[in-house]
Amino acid sequence: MLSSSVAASAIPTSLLRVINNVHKARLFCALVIVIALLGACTPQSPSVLPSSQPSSASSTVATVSQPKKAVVGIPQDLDSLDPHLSTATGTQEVMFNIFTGLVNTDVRGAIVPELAESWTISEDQLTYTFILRQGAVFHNGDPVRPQDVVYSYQRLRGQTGEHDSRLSSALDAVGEISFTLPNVVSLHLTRVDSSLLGKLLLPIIPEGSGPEQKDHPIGAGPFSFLSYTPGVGIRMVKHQGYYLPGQPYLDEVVFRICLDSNAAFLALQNGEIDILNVTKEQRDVLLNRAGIEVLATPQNMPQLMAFNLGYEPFADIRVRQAVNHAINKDLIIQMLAPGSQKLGTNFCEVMEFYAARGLEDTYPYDPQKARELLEEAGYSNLSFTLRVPSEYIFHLETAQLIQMQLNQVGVHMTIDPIPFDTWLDQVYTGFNHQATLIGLTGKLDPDAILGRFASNHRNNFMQYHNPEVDELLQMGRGTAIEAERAPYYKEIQTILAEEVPAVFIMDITLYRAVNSRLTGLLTYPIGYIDMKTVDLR
Amino acid sequence: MSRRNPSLILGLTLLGLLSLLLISGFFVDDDSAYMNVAGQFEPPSLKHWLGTDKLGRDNYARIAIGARSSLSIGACSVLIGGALGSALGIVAAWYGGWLDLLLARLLDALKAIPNLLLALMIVTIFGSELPVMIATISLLAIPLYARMARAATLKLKTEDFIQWTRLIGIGIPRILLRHVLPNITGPLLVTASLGFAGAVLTEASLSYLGLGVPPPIPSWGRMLSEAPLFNAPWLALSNVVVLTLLVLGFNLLGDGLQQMLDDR
Repeated sequence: MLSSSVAASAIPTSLLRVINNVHKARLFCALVIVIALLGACTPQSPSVLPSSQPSSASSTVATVSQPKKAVVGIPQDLDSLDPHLSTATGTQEVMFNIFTGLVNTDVRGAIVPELAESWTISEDQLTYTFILRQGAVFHNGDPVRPQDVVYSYQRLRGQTGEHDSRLSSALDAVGEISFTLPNVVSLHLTRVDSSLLGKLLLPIIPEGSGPEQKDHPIGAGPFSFLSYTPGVGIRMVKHQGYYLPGQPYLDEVVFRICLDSNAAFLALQNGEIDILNVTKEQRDVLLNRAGIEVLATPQNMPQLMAFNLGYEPFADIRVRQAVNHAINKDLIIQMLAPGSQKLGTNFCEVMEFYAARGLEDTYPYDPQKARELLEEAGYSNLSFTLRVPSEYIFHLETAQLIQMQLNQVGVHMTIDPIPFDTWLDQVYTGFNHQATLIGLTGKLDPDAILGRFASNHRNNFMQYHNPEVDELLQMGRGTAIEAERAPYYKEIQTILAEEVPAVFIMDITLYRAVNSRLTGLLTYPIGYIDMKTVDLR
Repeated sequence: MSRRNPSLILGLTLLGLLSLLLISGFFVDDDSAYMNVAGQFEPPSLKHWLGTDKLGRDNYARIAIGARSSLSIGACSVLIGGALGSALGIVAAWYGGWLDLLLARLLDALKAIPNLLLALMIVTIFGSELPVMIATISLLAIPLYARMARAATLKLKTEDFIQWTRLIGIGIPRILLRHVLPNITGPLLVTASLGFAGAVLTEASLSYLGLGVPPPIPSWGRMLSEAPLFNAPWLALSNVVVLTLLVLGFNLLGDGLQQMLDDR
């Protein structure tokens, strides 16, 4: 009995000592977390990416000049190295440097030759014949042959036996693909598809190389793959056999993954990173700093607050007009992204040829008008929930400004931030929302941009149905001649501007910072960090 | 309290200051926290003590109002998590056997999933309204209290006076409430002060990831994640300082309580 009571009294002190130690450890952890929140901006140690050693540099030549190298900061990891399996825009804008298609885009979104030197379209617009470029070679040294084109397209259509289903719907209109040696490929369409050319940026890979692409990508682009470390980055070196004389100018390009925007910004400022997309605040800092230039370019990315027309109040056009009248787009642009183009429809002016102009003030900022319309529609106490992907601070800030503005006309909007994955599932495909705020990735073809407003489009998350728009879209697809297509798409833009299935806010300007030691960086209306034209100053 | 207890005094002082901040939140102009489009990123001045943020909102007002959600989440997690956790721990320790085993394994299972991950999952499914946040963070706090209560009760069970209460036939609920609970409040209080700070940090982390209390309700974590470090350092700095002081305050309080118990 005695001994047991001794044991019992011994427990508390030791127990409490344990508590105390745990306690101190926790205090330490808590402080570390707080400090880490603030200080999560230590630049990545240079040892993570070993210093460059292009494969071509010969160690026996002592006088060889420093290899020309540039580092690009990218905000996320790559989703797949296999160009046919990757779906992320963020991956595509990097991998366009390794892979090329039959055609390419120029800075204004026009289709220009790449692996195909030229092409002809038959009278009935059902046969496209491409002449492949003489002298184009893959990174492994093999010439680009018609068989490679056929193989790449069959793989995308799921016909190589490697995958169970098609990897892309881009070639759905294409029936038979034939070729004549040495350099002619013909696509025979089952129906007219006027947007086909724009889709042929699809990567061409060597015949039979499909299964290896995910580990060692091989294309015919200006840079060839050197190494990839998940979470760290991808390195690529100059493709000696690239068909444009002299290009690319750089010997090595590193795309470094920078998950923390502040850390990346520091790395940009101290010269570790040469090219980086920056926020408006970071741009403001750089404006007063020599040595780094900021390019502001339209991204062809409409930002919109989209109504779900399946939600009763928004089925009433007067409510949608009222919300449009209540929102001051100029103010949003001025505060969040100065220099962005104000929109009135789902189309950006950078796509010069197809854009209808003068629509941005169809429903100008007019709170009084907004109140009247709401009253008339019987929704003077309208309240709804806006689902916004929580990763995008820009959209969340826009949402808060809209919330304030709507408040002034008596509309109560609740913001519901959800992870992007959930957003894709719930909103983009599930239509389980009342309204949402998002930016739509830039596309080259007007059909790809406006097609989502078709009644039967599977991602018509506005649930917008208008037979007139459907018909115009069909007519646009019926011809491949630009001058004939343009009026249809302009008409659709006008209808959208009037019927406002969304508040079309702005084409979000992209601020891309470039170290002044580099020159020649071009920007495109699609996600594409083109390094082949970049050189040291 | 024969010895001096600087931790307790310092902790209480810090928490007192933060209470003042919390109370001042009820007197600031709500509009200044929500809307002032004109002045973006104004540095600290007489009018705006801690400057303004990207949407021109007064930073001090937002921190003071944000204290409400942070502190109410902390308090609720201590109350709910603490009550449930302690009850579970006491009951398990008292009855022992398979009940104890089952509970221990359940707590282990809960512990095996990283807190933040579990919280993210729940918030993703049920949304991030304040009640959901409170429920989630309280749930996460349960194992902390349950373990502590269980250990303390196990020790207490063998004490003579508890044995006596059983011998003279007092009902079990009464023993647990009147004799066991009062004797283990010490370690539970220490745990609670830690748990409070932990809960505030969890909320801040969730908000930092964009999944905390939905905007425009000010939340310390979200304010931190939205603060640009380079043009307006005062935003992030003031936020971090407040958060650090709060965590530090509660930890010092815990230390102080601990020392008080040791002295007794």
